[in-house]
Amino acid sequence: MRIIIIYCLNGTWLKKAMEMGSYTLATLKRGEKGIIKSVDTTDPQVQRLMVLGLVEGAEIEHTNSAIGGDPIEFRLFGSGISLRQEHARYFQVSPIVAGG
Amino acid sequence: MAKPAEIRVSPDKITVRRGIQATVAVVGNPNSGKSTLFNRLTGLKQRIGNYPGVTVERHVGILRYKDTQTELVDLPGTHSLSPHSLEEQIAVDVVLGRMEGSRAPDGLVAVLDATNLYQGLFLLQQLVDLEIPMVVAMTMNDAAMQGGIKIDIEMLSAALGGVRIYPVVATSGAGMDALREAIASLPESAPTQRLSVWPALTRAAEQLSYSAGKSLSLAESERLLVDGITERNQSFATGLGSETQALLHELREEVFSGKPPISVEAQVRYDWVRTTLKSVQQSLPPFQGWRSRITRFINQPVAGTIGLFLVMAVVFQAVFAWATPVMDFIDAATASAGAVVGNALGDNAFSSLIADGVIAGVGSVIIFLPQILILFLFIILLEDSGYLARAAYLMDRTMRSVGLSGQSIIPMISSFACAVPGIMATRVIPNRRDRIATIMAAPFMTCSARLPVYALLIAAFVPPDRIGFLNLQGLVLFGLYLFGIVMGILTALLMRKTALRGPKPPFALMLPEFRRPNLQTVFFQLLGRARVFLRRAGTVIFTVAVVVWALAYYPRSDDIRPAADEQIEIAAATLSGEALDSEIRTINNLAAAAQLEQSWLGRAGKAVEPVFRPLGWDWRVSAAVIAGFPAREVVIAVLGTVYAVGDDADEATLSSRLKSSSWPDGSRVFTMPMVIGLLIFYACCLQCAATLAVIRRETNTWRWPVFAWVYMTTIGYLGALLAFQFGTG
Repeated sequence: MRIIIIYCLNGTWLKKAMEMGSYTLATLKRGEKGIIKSVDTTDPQVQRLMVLGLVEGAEIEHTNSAIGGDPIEFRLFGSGISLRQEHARYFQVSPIVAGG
Repeated sequence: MAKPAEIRVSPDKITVRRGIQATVAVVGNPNSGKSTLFNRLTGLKQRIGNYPGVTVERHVGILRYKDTQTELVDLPGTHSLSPHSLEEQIAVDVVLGRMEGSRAPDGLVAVLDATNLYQGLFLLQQLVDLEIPMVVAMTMNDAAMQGGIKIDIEMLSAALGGVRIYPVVATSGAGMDALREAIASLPESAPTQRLSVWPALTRAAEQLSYSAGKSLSLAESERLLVDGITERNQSFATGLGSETQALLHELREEVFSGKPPISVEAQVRYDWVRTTLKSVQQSLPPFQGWRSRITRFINQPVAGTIGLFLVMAVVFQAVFAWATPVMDFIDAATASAGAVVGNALGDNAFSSLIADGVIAGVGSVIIFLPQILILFLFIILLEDSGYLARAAYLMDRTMRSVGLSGQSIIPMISSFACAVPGIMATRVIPNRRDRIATIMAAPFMTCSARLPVYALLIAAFVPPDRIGFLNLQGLVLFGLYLFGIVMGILTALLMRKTALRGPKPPFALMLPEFRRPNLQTVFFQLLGRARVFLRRAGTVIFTVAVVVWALAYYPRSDDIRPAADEQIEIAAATLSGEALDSEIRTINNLAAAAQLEQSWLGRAGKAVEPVFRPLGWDWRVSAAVIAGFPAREVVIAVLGTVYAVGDDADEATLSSRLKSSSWPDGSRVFTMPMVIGLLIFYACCLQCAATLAVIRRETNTWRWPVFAWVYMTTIGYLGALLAFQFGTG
């Protein structure tokens, strides 16, 4: 049941992102890694997240999420950090294909 | 360009403060093991105060090394020198020497978590650029090793311009002596050498500093360029001339070209961190121990959430059940101490003051300690093990939907036992608005002091009928719990929509790996909490207890006691044995009731009777409710006295008296609508001086406790009014 919910949630995010032609931290699936390509800094709250190390060039992995897929837990240089879906969308990523 | 290394502390600055030679600030990321290190360095010699005008705690201790004494200040954790929260603001102000009433520190101890060099080095760069004498204490080395992280300390030191790095293991004390020596000699050490990570900013800062004359150091100029003139540094920035301000504006435009400065700084500095990490940090296959197994288990969404509920159940159970025997013991000890003193001093005002005022007052303060200590033991253990952050993360979505944040869960659950430790626990909530909304919602949770009142009224007036397999009495009790929760949630929602409206805080929680809490740190923190409660809240609770005693004791009537003695004599002539004892008890109880009736409290009950009349309360109920405002649990004792069954009457005697209590016209006082109203009043009303004192202490203003009191009393009154008026029809 849970897997279906998460799948649907991620599915919609994925679809939305594909339409926009981009991946964000919110579209990374569990276990996927990516490198932050650009950050939308128009929202002042995002600046705070950059101070925590979510900057261009940082490698980040979606490791987990709470029930319902929000907030999401990421691994950033060996440390766990959790973000809400709404904030994760400000970070464009290019996914790293597993093993690559 | 490089300034000659100057010795910052001139002889006249070495003030003789009881032999303390220098002040050193301990600064680092949150969760970097800073407090554990601080406790290791200073031991029991600590003082907890407040920074002027705010609720942020100031922890100060003394480090002794040979014949030197250094004052250590444990600053709140921060990620950057551009502060985001009040705690970070305090840390930054102290480091930059902007804190009101204290001078700049003579040196810094930067705490660097070996398992999180990425964020640690970001702050460290900013600190090195301040050109203050500094040493780095590297913590969590054992955890880093197990996690497969190998750090080249010499290379890291070189990358940071030669700043000395001391790896320590705070739990075992390894490496502490070298660190102590380094801190003791810090004031005489050379300041750090600026790193040239960001030449564009340094060039601009040089121009600005030159333009402002000597008043602005290079480091201050850099921070000013990044932060701009904000309301937080205004007092400092307005001292600059208009010419310098114009230059500042121009230079910021040049360096940041319209982008948010904080994000530009983050980008530049983290780029440097990434490059540096490549050369100083090696990743080895991590050691698969129990730690990573626990982390893996609690990381799963469903298993983690179930685990969280189990943890919560244990905490709640512990605060509720484990504390009860100790509280009963304190209660009994207070009562017997009061009785012993009362008997020894005889029947006079002084004796009553000591027995019923002072001893009972002290008892009413320490009665809270078991719950506070047990709850905080759990909170500190959960926080130090890294679990509290995970609990907040798991509950964030649910709590957000009711206008609170994930961190509110522990204070809310704890408040079911007692709102006092619950409100004290809100300090884990970093956002001020969320914190105050939680504080306002917490007193609605049904605490253990409401339970005896509920139990008495329900047992007396709700028939023990069965509805299906449910007991009606149990159902009413459950309804009251539910009612409290709903009121709390509505209050939080209302507050977040009105007085506490504001942007949602960016929710970014660091989720540390599971780690073993350090028992010494746990002990010190627990001791600190107990001290703070006794000193800050204890004084208010004690004062209120003595005031209530005085209200119930004065004025003394000259006629009641002699009249009662006369009656006892008459009784003694006709009765004997058991019957006489029972008669004497009755006479004494009636005398106590008569005395209470004409005391200030009784008079107040009669005076406010018109106010409570629409709720169906007579003066007796009104007086008991008034006496219960400082502490709702005394209501039962006051009802016992006022209904002349003695203040330690058993529940059955008291409830039969309540049932037969009537108005002068013979109609019953305790009708069903009136009882329901009374229960609603109890469920809402903030009848607890301890809670008010703690709200005052945690919000640092009387505004919030006064608001909470008025708000909750109004709701309670209106609820009781509606219940009675509609019920009576």
